[in-house]
Amino acid sequence: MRVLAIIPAYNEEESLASTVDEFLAAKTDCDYLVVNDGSSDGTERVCREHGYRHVTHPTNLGLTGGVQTGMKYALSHGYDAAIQFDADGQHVPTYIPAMVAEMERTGADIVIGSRFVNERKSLSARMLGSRLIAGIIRLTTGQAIADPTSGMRLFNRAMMEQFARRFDFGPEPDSVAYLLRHGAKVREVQVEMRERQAGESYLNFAKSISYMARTCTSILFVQWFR
Amino acid sequence: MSIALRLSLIVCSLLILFFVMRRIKKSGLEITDSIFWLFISAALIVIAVFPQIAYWAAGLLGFDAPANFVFCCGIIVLLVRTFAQDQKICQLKKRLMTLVQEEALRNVK
Repeated sequence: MRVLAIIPAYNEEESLASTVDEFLAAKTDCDYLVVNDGSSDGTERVCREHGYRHVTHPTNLGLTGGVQTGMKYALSHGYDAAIQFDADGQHVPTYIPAMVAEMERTGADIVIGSRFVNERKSLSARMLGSRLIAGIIRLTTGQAIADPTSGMRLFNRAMMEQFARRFDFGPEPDSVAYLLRHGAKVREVQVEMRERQAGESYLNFAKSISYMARTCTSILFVQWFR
Repeated sequence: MSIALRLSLIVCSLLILFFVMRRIKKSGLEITDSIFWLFISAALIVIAVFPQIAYWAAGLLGFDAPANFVFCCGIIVLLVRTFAQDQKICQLKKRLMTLVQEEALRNVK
């Protein structure tokens, strides 16, 4: 199975090199593509200096647009599956082969690198949000997803086509819920994740609230006539 | 608040709901924006079903009639929305300019 790791990078000059070098050192048998999403810092320079395979957006599109570019690339280059891999060092590449093996073994459409297959969720505010989203997904799809907010997801070709073709269809829990409701088979594999290596977390309080509002409304209401 | 006004609020709300749903179906509206319209739709229904809220708020803020309060709220929400859209349009214009220039300069070299 040919797998492409899509690494969306927006202003990640500090952590990009260590992330990609760790990815290469892990010998995952996967190719990678850095999608520089119109960064205003030295992300482009880091890519060039290290000779990373990358594409650069002339302007910032956001995560949805960045991942979509990666999906389109993967489809046109004949990859069988694509995994989203964060540039900030949160994801650990040594878990990728286990996820790919799970997809090959079970024929799943989506394999989520999950923090909570064997481990319990803590009681932090962030995990409260994760519980709420998991509860809503269970309510609307009847299926349990332990870690819906994990960004480390492996998609097969049918799913890649959805992400490449649709508008406003980001790599977010509501898209996973939508695909679930339309018959996608989802499996989870236990992984570890790290705290961000550099930079500031993207989710401050106001953003968290609007993220939750968007995700919950989308899963509960909007998905039904999408 | 007259029955006619309350009924027209409900009709408005249902119309908004209908058009928002149709837009989403055709991928003609981002989900983030649809939340605003769904919220407006819900607020109109609430005011129509429980006009006491409008009476109470109108008395508190010194409006002559609850209908005035409802209209005033509508105007404020629309003003804020227009302002937010102006910001968004400005951002889009900047992006478009960057895109077009990058593309044009790429063809020169």
